Amino acid sequence: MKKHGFGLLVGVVLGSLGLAQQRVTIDFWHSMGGVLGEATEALVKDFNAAQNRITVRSQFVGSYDEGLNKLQAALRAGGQGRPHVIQVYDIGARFMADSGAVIPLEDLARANNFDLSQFVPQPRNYYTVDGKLYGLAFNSSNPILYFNARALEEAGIPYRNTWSLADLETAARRLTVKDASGKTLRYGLSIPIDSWFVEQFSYNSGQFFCNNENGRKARATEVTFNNPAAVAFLDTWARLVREGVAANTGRNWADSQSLFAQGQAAIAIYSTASLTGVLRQVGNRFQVRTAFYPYLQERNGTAIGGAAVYLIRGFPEAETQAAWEFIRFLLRPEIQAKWIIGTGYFPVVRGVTELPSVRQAYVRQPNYTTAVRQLETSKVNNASAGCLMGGFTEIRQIVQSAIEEALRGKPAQQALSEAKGRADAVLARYNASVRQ
Amino acid sequence: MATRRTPISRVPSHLKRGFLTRGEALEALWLVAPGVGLLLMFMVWPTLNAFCLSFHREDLLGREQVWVGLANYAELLRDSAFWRSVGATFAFATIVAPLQLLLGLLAALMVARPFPGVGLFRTLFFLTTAVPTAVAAIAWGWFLHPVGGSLNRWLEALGLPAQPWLTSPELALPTLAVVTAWAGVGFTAILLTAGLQQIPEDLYEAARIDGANAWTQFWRITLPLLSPTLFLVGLLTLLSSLTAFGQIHLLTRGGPMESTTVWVYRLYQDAFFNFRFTYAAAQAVVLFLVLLLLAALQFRLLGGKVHYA
Repeated sequence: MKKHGFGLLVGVVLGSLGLAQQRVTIDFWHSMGGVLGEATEALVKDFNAAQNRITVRSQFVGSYDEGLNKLQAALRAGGQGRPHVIQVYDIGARFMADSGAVIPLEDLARANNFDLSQFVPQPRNYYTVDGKLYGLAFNSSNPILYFNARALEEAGIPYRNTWSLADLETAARRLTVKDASGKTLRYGLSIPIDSWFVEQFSYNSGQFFCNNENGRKARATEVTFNNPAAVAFLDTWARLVREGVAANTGRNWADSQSLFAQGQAAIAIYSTASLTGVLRQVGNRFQVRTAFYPYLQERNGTAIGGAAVYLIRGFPEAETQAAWEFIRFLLRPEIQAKWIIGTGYFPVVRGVTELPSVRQAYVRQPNYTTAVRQLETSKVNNASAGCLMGGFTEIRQIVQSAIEEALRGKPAQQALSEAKGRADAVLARYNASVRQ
Repeated sequence: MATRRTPISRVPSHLKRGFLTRGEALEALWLVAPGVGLLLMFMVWPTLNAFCLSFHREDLLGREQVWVGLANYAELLRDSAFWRSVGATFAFATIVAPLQLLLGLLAALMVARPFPGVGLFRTLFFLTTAVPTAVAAIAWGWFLHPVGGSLNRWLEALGLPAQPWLTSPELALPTLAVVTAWAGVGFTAILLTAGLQQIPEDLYEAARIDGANAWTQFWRITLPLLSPTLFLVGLLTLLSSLTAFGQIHLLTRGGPMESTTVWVYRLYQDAFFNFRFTYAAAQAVVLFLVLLLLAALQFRLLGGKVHYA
């Protein structure tokens, strides 16, 4: 015992000596604004308070695109001012791996004996590129259905957890209220124009959004968003818009959310990450219920959205190690619990949902469990892993234009097939620009 | 005042009054150095850089730049998306410039001559220019919301059908143009007010003695004498409408169906979303040349006609 005590003393003395010289500061760039930003800053504060060797300096760098732009600018300038850790959105996964600027998380985890099987499979699959895990899924979300529960009740439609596209269409029609002149007073459905919903509908129906099984078996060289599921989804959506059953509020999510919150649309499709905002907007007007994302014939499972944090290469060993410790801290179940309760995202390591604090939170607000249960009941395959490809931001713009064309009357098959031609060119250009 | 004479050889003739002493020249150099330095760093260098970039092609992170000559420009000429954006830009400008000029002229005519409370009205007209683009765009977004927006509610109250102002490809661009013109009215009105105040009052007096009514006075005196200012303001408006960005980014993001993807928005997307910096640089260079041409035209046409008081 005495020997042990002496060793501890020596350790403390040495440790504090070392502290004077080796306090490491690492930079963390994130794109979480508002409530999410506060929750992120709280995690950083907790980490800085929990130990005294490492200081994480966090910086809000604007939207995901802006953050990625800043990283690009830093890397183009020879790496000057680049951060140790950066949060990058889901669809930047292929780019981050191709950039060569990232230390794969898997390498660090193995070097530090972190058991990778602790990860929830879907987020791990999503950020696995060419067989290796690159990023840590930091904030993960899913698309879900939002219902105005009072409208459902009044129309005599029982609430269900799972909806096929056909069921959803029927419900939307019944929930639509029109006046004598045929003008819509309340829409049955409202979906913001966003490529993400077409992507997720493909995955949830067991289809791929890009070839080589979503770019998971080999680098994607073509998009496949003209698959039967995506075509059916867009066809239905467009038909409902033309018939005044679904509202077309454009690309801005907020415009659709205000419609739903005011009771002027009975069903809506958003992200799980929108839940806190929607509930706040709805207030006491009506009860909100959420359900799993729809599918065509058989429910496969959605891919995760959101963003991951990556460790940037090329720093001194001590700083990289410090960055890993920050990541390690974020993975602790109690920290994950705090994060998901504060934000509505779902955990990325196993065992978090069983924690008492999380269970209580889920009992208080059962809508928050939809995302987690959707994830737990999703099949784990290359469809639900999500499409991995470069140039995704540009391709999303192309898909969004195709949605707009379809909503105006162009057959979905034609709109998506034409868009495929343009998207394939983007993908080919991206693949050519990657230094092999 | 000696410091305002710079030791540059090509000094405009009216400044060539005498030569600077060596000491004065050095002093002047020191005084302009910070300004020139900043200009070089933040204006000249990036511009040259963009020119240079437009002749290259690069890998993902710009590490391998390869000289490709005019390949980016050749691709640009074949790119139908680019030409659509050019078309949208000029369609946009053709609505914004006349509208803003007309509204600005109306406002200026109202407040050019002093009357009780004129200050209040001048402030009100200028207010639209003082409102930050972001604030204005968000407010307009609410106002134009397809279902819950005030404008559509008013229309419906009048028995007229609600319109998809920002969500239909036909209406989005004109709607944005109106928003842009609205935001620029104050600026236009101020310049035109200054122009109106330059017109000697005795001309109007003489006209009144000759029995000319207000209408005739406007067409025979105000408009001809204001025309240099009008022309200048028109070109300024045109140039600024060709580079409109903030309101488009906030209200439509270039949609629906890319109907509001104007030139600047296209190149912004290519650079900062699609990470095609060299290609975007080529677009920027072409836009720069077009704007330069218009500016040169402006100087040439206005040459001796405008007097800066």
